[in-house]
Amino acid sequence: MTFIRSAKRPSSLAMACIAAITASALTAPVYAQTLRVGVATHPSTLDPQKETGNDAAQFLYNVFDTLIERVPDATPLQFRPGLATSWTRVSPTVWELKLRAGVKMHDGSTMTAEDVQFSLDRVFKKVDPRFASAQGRFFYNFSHVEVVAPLTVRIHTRVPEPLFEVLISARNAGITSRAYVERMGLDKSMQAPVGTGPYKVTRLVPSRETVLERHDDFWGEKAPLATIRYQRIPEVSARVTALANGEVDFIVSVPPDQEPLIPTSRFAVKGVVWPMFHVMVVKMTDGPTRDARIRQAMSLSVDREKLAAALWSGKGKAPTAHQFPEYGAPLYIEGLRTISYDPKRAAQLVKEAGYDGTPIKITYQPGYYLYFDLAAQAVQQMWQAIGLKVQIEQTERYDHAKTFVRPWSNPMYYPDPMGAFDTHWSKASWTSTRGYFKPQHPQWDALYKDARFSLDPTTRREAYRKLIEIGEQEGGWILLYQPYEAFAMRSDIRWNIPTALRPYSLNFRAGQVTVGARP
Amino acid sequence: MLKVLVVRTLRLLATVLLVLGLSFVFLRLSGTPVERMFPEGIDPEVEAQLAALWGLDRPWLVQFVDYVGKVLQGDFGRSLLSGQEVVEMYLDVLAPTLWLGGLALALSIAVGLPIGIYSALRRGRSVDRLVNSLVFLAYALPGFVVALLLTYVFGYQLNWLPTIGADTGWHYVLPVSVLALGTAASLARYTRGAMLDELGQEYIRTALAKGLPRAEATTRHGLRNALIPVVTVIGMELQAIVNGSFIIETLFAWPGVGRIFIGAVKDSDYPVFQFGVLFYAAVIVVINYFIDLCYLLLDPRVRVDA
Repeated sequence: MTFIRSAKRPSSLAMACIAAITASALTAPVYAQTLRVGVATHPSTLDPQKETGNDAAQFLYNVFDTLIERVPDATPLQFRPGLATSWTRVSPTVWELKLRAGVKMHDGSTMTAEDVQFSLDRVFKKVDPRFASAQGRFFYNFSHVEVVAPLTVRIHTRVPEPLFEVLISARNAGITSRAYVERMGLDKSMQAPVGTGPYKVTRLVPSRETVLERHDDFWGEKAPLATIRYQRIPEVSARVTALANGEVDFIVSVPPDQEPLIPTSRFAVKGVVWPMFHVMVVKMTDGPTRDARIRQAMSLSVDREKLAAALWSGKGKAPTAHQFPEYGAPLYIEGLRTISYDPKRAAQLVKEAGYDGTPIKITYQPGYYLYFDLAAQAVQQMWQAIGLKVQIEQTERYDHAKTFVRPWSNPMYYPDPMGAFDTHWSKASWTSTRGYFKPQHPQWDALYKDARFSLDPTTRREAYRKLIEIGEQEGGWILLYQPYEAFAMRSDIRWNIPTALRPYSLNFRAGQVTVGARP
Repeated sequence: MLKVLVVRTLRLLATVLLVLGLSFVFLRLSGTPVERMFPEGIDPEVEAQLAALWGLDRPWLVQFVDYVGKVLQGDFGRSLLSGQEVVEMYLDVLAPTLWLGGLALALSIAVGLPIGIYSALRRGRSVDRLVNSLVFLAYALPGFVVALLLTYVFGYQLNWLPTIGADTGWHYVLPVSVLALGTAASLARYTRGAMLDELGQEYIRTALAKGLPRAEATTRHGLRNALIPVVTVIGMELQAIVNGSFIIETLFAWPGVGRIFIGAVKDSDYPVFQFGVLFYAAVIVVINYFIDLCYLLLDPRVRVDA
């Protein structure tokens, strides 16, 4: 409850009156020496096993540790000890991990093997339906955790897991306190979560505001910031204004058309092309898109370079294949091109297919994906130019029986070919279960199995190469572009986008951010 | 008198129950929380587990009766998404919400009424025409446009005033001004009209004829009568402030009831939404109650009837 008067602020009778009247109503504290972050979205809870969204990714890395950690900016991935000091595969499906001793949790207790077992088993075994998302995305091949000694656990997988380190270092494998969650119940513990990370949650207002404070008993190098206050500012113009006005120090999600509004004399802008595609999912099993030639024609006629240039102010990226350089060697295939732009061939395919003029509808939720409304109109023109009839339909809820083309997007959840592919196109994905994605190629299932589960990286890479080549022919997806957005911050803040972590992670651990004196 | 009160109260309860029942059904028709959380659809088994966890697998009527029964015992439930107590969620932001609305109303009355009276007394003169034009402009401008404009000038350009949150008194200046502007304009228009109506009445002419000074005839007789319709308008404007605050809270990242309510609609978070409906019903009832009270004070005929 403070009125801070600066020389620039105007003084008037009206303002003084309002000030006097309101002064008594103001109870929210003002945090001094705090990194104030303006976020666009904010989760309703911060449970490590429950939250899989981009909103929670901005917090979880600072609060929760995993058994194995990634070097945040290494490509290809490099792993280092986290809450486990060592790990070895003791049989094809069993990994043994030695736990770090004396790790203090945020509630003052000391981490035990039971905490590790509790945290991971609840997601491996899906003990609550709210953990289903993380289980399906990361841990469906994990079976259970066995405690073999006070500081030794064994993690069992169903089949040998080539991505063991990758997945166990995902934040959804973060460790929380068994005693605390059991004492509080999930409803309360996810409001005031307890982890072992360098920051602890001291205030969480669902969907609005979170305050993290330095965990002084952290087992590793202490956090560089005393306090981080995240405030949700849903409107992008309000976020930019709040930064320019000195109300926050750091903002996320600045789209390219708003970026020029950031005063670069006082603020630094860091742009990123995310390892994710905005995709059009095309129904393969029904309706006017049932014919593979029509689907191929739709993909061939989309000028992705033009879309990336026009919609994303030249900062988005047109894809050449369903892969990202973030995998690094040996999994990223340099120079691979499976996507091409060939409207002539597309028009020919439409003729060959004997297209009967049934309109193809692009259905989407307005405002859900940035610029998709514009993309839909541009793509409509491109498809009409090759002889297709195209309609655009806005909806609030998708009627899957009547939807044939619709947008979707997911980040690359972990830097691996399967980090994005598995969520989109596996047999468990809604694209398969809802009858959109059904590849007919006889080798598809075998290749998928190799790409996901082979223990030999070269086999995985080659299987993946064939998979995405076949995928383009099958035409169940049309990759449009990789979106671009920017972070903006006070110019004395040194921070880099952590390429080895899940997109949207904000990493404020030691060595990952420095805040100088205010200019 | 007692009978009137009992009938009124019963009617009120029936209205609230009806509103609650209708909103209960409409929100369920518009989607389930599971659909909102997993818009692409999830494993039917998990969907069933979540529905069971939240008690949504029972028939709607059973859910409604159960809900009303719990409400009567003071249990408004927990948010399906966050697990937080619903009452706690609203109470947490009640103070800034009430201050925002209350200050906006006070400011709009303090500005709108005098302008309306002044304009009526200067009817037809150039100052009246000027004031009228400005009032009309303020009335016609949508709140969000004014909000963006003021934020841009006083926040982005001049760095004079804070634009997000409700941490200090300065944080109230912009949102209160935006909310008050349209309401003040509306009040000024109504006050001017009502004053002109009253000033043309014969009783004013009689008062002047019997030698009462114009100022006294205007304020003691004219204004008092003009205020009766104005009070009704103030009641309506207060509801407009409540509605307007939904947008203003989003634009100024204001920790308010409106954002919680809108969020609950978006997420189909039934218990949070249902409490919001009850809350807003209560607000409207209280507003109308106070309007009735004001009539009693202003109009002796109402007192006699009562």
